[in-house]
Amino acid sequence: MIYRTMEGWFSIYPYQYRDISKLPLDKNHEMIDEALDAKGKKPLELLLRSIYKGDDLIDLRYYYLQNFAKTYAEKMLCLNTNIADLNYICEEIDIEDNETENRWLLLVMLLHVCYMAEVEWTIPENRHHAEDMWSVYQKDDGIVDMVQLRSVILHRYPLLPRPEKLDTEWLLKSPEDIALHTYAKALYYFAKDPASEKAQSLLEQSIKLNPHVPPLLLQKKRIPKKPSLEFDPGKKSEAEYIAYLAGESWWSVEGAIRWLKKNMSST
Amino acid sequence: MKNVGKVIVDWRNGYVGTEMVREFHQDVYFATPHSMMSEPRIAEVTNMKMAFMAEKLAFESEEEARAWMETITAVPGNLDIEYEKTQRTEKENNYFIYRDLIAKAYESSGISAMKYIYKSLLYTDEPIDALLWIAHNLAETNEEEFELLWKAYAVSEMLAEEYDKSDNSVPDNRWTDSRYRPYMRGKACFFTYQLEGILDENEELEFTQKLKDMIQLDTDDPMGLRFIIMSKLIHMKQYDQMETLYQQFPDDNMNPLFLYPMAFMKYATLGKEHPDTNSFIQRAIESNLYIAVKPNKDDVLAHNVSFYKPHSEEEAQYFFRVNPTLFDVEEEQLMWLFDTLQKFMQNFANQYLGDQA
Repeated sequence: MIYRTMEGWFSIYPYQYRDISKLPLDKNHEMIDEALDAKGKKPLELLLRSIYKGDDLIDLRYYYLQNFAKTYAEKMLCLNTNIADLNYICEEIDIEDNETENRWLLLVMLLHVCYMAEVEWTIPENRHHAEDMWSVYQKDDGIVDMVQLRSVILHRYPLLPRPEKLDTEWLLKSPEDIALHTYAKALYYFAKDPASEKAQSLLEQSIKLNPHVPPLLLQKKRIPKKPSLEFDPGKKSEAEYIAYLAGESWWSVEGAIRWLKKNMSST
Repeated sequence: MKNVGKVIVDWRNGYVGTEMVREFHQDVYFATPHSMMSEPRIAEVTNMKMAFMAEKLAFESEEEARAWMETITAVPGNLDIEYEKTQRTEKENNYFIYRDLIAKAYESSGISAMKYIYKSLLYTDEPIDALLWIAHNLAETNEEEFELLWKAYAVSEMLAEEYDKSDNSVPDNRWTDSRYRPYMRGKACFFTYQLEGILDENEELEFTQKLKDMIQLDTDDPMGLRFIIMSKLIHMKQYDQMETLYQQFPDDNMNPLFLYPMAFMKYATLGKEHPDTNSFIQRAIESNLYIAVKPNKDDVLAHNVSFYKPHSEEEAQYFFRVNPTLFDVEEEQLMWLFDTLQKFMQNFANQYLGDQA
């Protein structure tokens, strides 16, 4: 089964989630759809013209974020204004009557928040903000599992400046046993206590689930700089995504790399 | 330019008329009402920034304010330096960025303009000017144009109402307030667009009245909405209202956009022999010869031309954009117009030849 990574979800435009939720597309959505495939000045023309229909600029701002936003401030502006709009639409919608619409809105908003956290994450001093944003959404199980948010956070747990702010019980509650989750948990327990038996058993389980991960983590140069958009559990694509998410963390926890090396050779 | 006594012949600028009219319009370019209602003016953002800074500084005396103004205007870059120093909220800052981007879009063209408009949408939730730009430059169908203009109008209407409640300044001088101008543009564009479409009599009356109401927002009517109103009034044969409008703006007594409809109105109400009718048509021809010589409504001024010189051929073309059906009259009336024109030309030729001799 192919999973979409969090970044894979980010590559989808908000209106495309409507399609996933089986909500009807409007004329403006069709124009945006056409813009995504067009070249030259045509995409801009189509996007601007699409405003004639629809009441929000969420997709337009998202397109700007993905294609034009160069500075951190611009990216945050796109996301913040979109979240404000999504909040406004949420308030306007009668939840009981529009359950699907509401679910779509929540999902898009969550992904925007995740994206914001990602944007923040690239700047060390803003990791505090990332924690705050994630802690707000960590309670919502159904939607969060979709983007593997737990694993994304847990892989970076050792880097967080205020990890105590996060609900670890929620973070450690894996919906299923795939290497993406088990490697993260192994490192988490090892960081707490290098002699932890739980860490040891989780690492052994992880290596069995995906043996391609340790070689990537052990050589800093092989750690991917860019995330993949999807992965297949147990395959190299998953290993690359884990290495992308957790490379920095494994090298920042004292003794972790040595521990990984030892276990790799013994297995 | 050649001065031949009472009549001036300025071939370069396409002008033939009396000294009085020439002096009145010397070296003047008129912005078309359509451009006034759809494009922000060049100094708008600068004026708005200055007003904003002055408000924040809260001067204690007029001298203090004048001294500050002198500093600002002494060197071009001073305004930006002072602006950067002024404390502003994120919302205020974003609004100024938005207006700056809109101004840049109107100064550029093609993909650059589109990029400015696109970026401007990030900074505001009241993108009136951006919507107008898209409607006028990109909309491909009437439906698109209508919807975009309607959106701009709806936002303008709502925000203007909010603004009126929060602002204590004189409500009949709104054009001078750069913050308010987009609302006027949004409303005027929509009403004018509606009036240019096929409407029944009641709708035409309704939207003309809405335009008339807009003049109350700035009684000097700097946008020139009165010319569009005049064209609609003659179309609807609202002769009393035409007379009132004409009297309301005495400075326009040499403007063809007023004079031709007025001459036709006088023809209809007083007859062709009446001195008033004669006076109006004489002045109309004098104010712009091209309109009477070549009443071609199909040769309208390109929509992207924003300025014209009084008495020029461009003015005549713009005239027919505003008054496309004015010359759709009975043959007798047209013959009367051409007879008057012939007399005018004969008179001019006599004068010219006499002066030459």
